[in-house]
Amino acid sequence: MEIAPPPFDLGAIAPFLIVAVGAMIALLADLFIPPARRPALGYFALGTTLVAIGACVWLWGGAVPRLAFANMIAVDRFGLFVTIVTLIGAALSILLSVDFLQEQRLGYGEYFPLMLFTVSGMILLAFANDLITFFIALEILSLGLYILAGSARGRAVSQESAIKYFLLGSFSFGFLVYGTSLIYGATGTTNFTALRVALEGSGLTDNPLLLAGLALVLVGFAFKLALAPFHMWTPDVYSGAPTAVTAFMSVGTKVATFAALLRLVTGALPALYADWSNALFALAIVTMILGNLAAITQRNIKRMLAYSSIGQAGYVLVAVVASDTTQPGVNDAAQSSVLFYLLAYTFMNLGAFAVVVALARPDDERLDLDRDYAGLARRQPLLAAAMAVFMLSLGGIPLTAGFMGKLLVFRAAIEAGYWPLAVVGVLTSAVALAFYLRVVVRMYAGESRHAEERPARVPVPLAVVLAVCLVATIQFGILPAIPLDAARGALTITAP
Amino acid sequence: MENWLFLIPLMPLLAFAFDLLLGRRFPGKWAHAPAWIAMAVAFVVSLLAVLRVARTGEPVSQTLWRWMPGADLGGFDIPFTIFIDQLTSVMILIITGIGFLIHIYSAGYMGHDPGYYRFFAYLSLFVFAMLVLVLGDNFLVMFFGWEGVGLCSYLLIGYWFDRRSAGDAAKKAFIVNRVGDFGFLIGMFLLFTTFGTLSFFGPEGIFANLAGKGEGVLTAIGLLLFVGAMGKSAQGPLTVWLPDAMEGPTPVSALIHAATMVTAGVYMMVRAHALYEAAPVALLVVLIVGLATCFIAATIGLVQNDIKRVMAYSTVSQLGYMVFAVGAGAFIPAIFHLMTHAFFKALLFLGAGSVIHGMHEEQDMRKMGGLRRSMPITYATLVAGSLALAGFPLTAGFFSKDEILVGTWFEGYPLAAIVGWIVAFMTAFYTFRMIFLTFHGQPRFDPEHVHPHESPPVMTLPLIALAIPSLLLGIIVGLPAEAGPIHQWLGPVFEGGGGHADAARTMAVAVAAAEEAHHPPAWLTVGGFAASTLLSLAGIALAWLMYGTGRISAQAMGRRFAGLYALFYNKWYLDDIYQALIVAPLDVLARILWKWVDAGFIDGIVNGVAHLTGGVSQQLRKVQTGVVSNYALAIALGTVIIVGVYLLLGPQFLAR
Amino acid sequence: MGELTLGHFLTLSALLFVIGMLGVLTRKNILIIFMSIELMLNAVNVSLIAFGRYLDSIAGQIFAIFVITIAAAEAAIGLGLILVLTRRQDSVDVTSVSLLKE
Repeated sequence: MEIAPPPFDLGAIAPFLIVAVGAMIALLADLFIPPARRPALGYFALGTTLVAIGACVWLWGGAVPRLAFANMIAVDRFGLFVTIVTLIGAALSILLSVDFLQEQRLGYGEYFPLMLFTVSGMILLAFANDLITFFIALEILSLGLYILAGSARGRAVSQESAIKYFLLGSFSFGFLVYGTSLIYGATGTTNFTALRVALEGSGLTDNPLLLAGLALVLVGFAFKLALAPFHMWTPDVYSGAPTAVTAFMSVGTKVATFAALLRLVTGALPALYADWSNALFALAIVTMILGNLAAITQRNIKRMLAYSSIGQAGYVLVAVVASDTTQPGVNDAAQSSVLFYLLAYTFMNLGAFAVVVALARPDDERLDLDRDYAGLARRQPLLAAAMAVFMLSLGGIPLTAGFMGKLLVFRAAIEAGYWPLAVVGVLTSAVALAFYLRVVVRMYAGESRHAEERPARVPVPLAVVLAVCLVATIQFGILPAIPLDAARGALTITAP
Repeated sequence: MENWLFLIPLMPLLAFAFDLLLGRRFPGKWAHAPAWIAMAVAFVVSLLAVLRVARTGEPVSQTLWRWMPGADLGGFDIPFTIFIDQLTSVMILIITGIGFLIHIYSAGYMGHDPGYYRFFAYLSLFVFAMLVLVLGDNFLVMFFGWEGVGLCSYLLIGYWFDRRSAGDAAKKAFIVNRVGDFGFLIGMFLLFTTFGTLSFFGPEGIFANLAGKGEGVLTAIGLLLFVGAMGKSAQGPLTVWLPDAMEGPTPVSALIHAATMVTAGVYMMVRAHALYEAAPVALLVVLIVGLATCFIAATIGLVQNDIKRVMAYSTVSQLGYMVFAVGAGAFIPAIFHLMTHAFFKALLFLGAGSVIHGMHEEQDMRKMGGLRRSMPITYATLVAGSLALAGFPLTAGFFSKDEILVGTWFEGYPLAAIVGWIVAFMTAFYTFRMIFLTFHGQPRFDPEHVHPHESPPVMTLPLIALAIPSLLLGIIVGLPAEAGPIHQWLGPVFEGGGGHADAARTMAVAVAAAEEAHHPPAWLTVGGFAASTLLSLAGIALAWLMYGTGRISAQAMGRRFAGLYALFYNKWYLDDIYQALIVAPLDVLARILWKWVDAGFIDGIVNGVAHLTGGVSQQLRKVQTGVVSNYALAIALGTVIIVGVYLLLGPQFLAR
Repeated sequence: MGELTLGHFLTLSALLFVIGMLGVLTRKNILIIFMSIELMLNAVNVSLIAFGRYLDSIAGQIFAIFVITIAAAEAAIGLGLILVLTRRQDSVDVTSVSLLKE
């Protein structure tokens, strides 16, 4: 059998290459830089992500879609949009980490290179057009996160977080790979484009191998996206990992994985719409209910935000369910709302975590809602005001990004005929207000336990993160047209 | 010019953000500086915009952004447009102009307050919300402002939250206003379902498309919106919150609860005058409610002893004038009175604040007296304001009140006009009762402990600045009567269907044309002047006899009309009626339900949701054991379920 | 006994996968749990190579090689994490890793 090597199109994967090469350089540089200068690595990593964003913009303006490496990579505006969102999230997380690492004495070591490697996995995930590329990308992303979660080596909770994430992640990865192998076996191909062609009008759609494969792949996604009942690792891992890592994990992973899910189900498996939409329908309902209900009784802000992120994933999933490619209008509304929600979520969630990072002390991470957040508005009015905006946005109060996101998602669901999803969504949003507003009430009405101590100085990089997230959260709520137009321009998932 | 309109609401908003976030760190007491600057800039820009309107005769507007792009949301497109026509002009000049003066005054009045920056932050936020309310060109933006001013009013009434009465008053205002806002909201829904839009103007707007809509639905909308107006403008049964709202700092009473926010209901109805003209039944209800409020509030004002409460009831009563003028269809006189009232009532409140300030927080007039010597400027300006409120000839209040009464008579409600004149007599009486009790006669306080003193210039200068328009504004814009500059200015608003809609000229044209055609006859105008003059002078004279010279004993009068006195003194038992009709029955009902329907069932309804969510949440905590194997089991079970369902039930196991 | 068909390989693969899965669920020793996960991945490899053979497509083998590579990377990281854990505590019992809960 003769194998012709596919042509190389390095330009198409420029963002991936930039980040991966940047990671390797940072890894090498770490050997030669004296410990006191380590923050420079953070700024190098930041620069790398910014250059990668530039490359994405360049590709966006060029000829898209662009298929590369024997169709295993599809560079289209959908992928580029998601990549830019991921990179923004990564850049903000890096800024978040610079002072946090020093303050918490976590040691830089491989932190920034690992973060960049993880980001490279996310980028690859957004462009993956083949089952093989897809699962390699997913694993690059996961392996980096396993180590990052445990990067506070001296802390038992961080270790535990890493072990749990690793064991459960590998376990669910097994299901995912098994699923892909069954899909390959049933159709004879691993390429998304070829899959779609093979399934169209064929009698394959009832094939049990294919259906079992789809089910197992969805399980893999459900784990990564923390959809109930595959979500149970999330609160433990999120609360155990260093806060900066949690912030990064909660946005980057979700954004890239949702993109991959959307590309797989609508780009490769539209013929199975009835099957995957039904499964995701059930998952969305369970996730919205369980995620938001479980958050109510949490007193640890990181656990609360972990459950909140589960609920938020449920809302995005609602729009994924509505992505029915046979109805172009509905599909466009649904997919653009997925992209908008992910963008809005990136800013509001990172912003909330940035406040948590800002409050942390070397000896005490200040995570207790009743103890550490009460009366915050008196001591640190700016931080409290920022946190209030993020909480209101996550809760979906009008004139914030979160409200627009929810509105678009629920509307898409109703247009597609999934009114039960919209009803459950609205009801759970009302429940969710209970715990989001509780944070606000605590901050503004509670008695401060730390009244006597000097308020923490917010370092400049962190202030930048807060400002960016704050502006975006408010701006996307008041002027949603700009990001929404960009999302609408990014709707062509390549499957020529 | 159009491109700078956004500064009008933006400046107070910036001042709010600045003060809230950084105010505490300002050196010394400089939190008022950003608020002052913001108000001054907003006033200047407003003035420029109004001059532009005056020059061209056309409204100016600036579309800031469209909130929800139509494509994704099926026509629910709300443009955030700043719209300034002649009616809005009057409002924004009042808000920014009087607002500016009150901001200056507040720096003196609140100087000793520890929450200085917080006060200015709230005050600026209020101005922002009020501007949004009047500048919007659709009902939704108006509603944002409407809710915003309600929130600020709540915050400022309860500003001294360590006083229990302030907290209670704030809560009362909040709850009563929610009732009103609920009506407004339902009215808005009805508008949207009827017209498919919430915009005022343009060919697609509400006012251009009134023709052909059923009178029933228009009446319903008009009444529901009026419920909102009753809440904001403290009319009819929803009047009870305003007198209590005087628990807030006095500058707040002046700005929010006299000059601006409480007139929002009047403004809204005049803005929607085309709609109301198409719903005569709703207008009649407005007239009756306004008239009753006007009369009842004035009678209560006769017997109050707290200086701020006198003002409060007089405000309710004066608002009643405006509301029944709207109900009679005399829109221009209503706005005229709104304008003059804003000046002299702000002046009266600020003057009362100056008295309270000089008397070391004493508000009871029975413990004052003879203050005119120690506070000459306050005395002089308060007299000017009182003359205007009492409708003393040639003052501002005289012209506007007279126009309302003549206009109401002319629109076909002579009885209402006569009641209005009776109220005018009572107004003159209680206003000067207040003046004589406070400033004349012998001091009734203990001179050992209380040393009344004149307020600093930062407080007296705004008083003087307000006294001048209170005296002269009527002559400037009100003459000749029923056809003065104010009529020429506001006239264009009432031409055509709803002011600026060219597409469909509705019946309003005919009404306006009829109005244009014949002014009230000369005998009515002259007779009105005479009646107003006589009644005003009679009221002042009676007050002089009773409280100035003591020739008529107030106690004797009180005894002779003991029944009426008790009725008025107890505020027509309004609070008691509420207690008896609403609060108590609710209590009883709750008790009955609790007893008759199983307590567990009530629990199930009232606390059920909370219990359920909390309970489930607790259960979920227990499931989260922290052991990896259990989590893996959940994953495995979930997998088995999904795979099993796929393989056993096949595709489409869930119906859409 | 006839010849080996695809069905035989798939059955073997499924059995190995389920054995691995049950191992993860029932074992307490983290190392054995980890080995069970490896067993699951290798079960997938069996099916991948069988598919490749029967479909006459090389993708199956490439797929399997990538799975082996990834399993190796996972093993490196996993063993590293377990090593760090054993330095802190003597036990590799999975129930001893449960500080974070509720």
